[in-house]
Amino acid sequence: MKALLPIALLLLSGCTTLRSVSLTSVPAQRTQRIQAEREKFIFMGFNFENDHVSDVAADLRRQCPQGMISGVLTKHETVNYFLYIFWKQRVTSEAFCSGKAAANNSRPRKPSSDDAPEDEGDVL
Amino acid sequence: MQRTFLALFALTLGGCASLHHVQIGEIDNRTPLTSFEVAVSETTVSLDDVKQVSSVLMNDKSSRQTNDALSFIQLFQMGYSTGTPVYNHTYVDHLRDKLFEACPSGQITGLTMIRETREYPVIKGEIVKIKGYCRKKG
Repeated sequence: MKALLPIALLLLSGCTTLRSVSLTSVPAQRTQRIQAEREKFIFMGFNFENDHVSDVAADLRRQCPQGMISGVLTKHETVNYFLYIFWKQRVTSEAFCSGKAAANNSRPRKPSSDDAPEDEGDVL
Repeated sequence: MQRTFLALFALTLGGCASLHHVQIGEIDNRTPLTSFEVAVSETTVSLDDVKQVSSVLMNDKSSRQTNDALSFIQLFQMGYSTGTPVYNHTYVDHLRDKLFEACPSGQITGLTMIRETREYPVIKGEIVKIKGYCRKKG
């Protein structure tokens, strides 16, 4: 049983490769941070479509209804598991929502709040 | 045996989709939007795949000659590349025109740019796909 543990760890750990990064203009008003992520498991490299990527933008829109989404940081990563039998493709997007939606969703923020932007209020 | 071969052949005809680059732009979600998608692509040939096929299908001498000829062409394709090298670099030039065709109002937002390759045996399709949102005029 103990012998299975290192094997399981070996099989479950994967090496991550960052494939691409992009960032759009960051707004001065950074009150509401939003995030979307999509993952796809690929077996033996057989992947026939990348449609999961387009869901990321739709997900950002859902989180910021009637608002302006800017400062979009998009990362595309690949996680390769043991012997490339399984791959995982991950697209993560973080952005700031401003405008009507941000005003509706804004809440009093504690200084210790983890999810709050650190440099909120800075004028670029 | 035949069934296995047919199944494998059908699998290769599907063409694997390899994702190279993703970029999401700013989204102005303040007004109702309609989504659209445009894509441009260029078909190319993987010289490495041709070398492998020639080594199986041709005799030793012909295969060696083919290998040498293709290696010479590859000297002009050295350096970093995304996907398989193509022989026409203008295939993305009309991408902006396609965007305006898809969104006649010109009020475009939330562009998601996807750079991918559709990989068949020997033949490769280099694709630039753009998904976005269009605001209606007015």
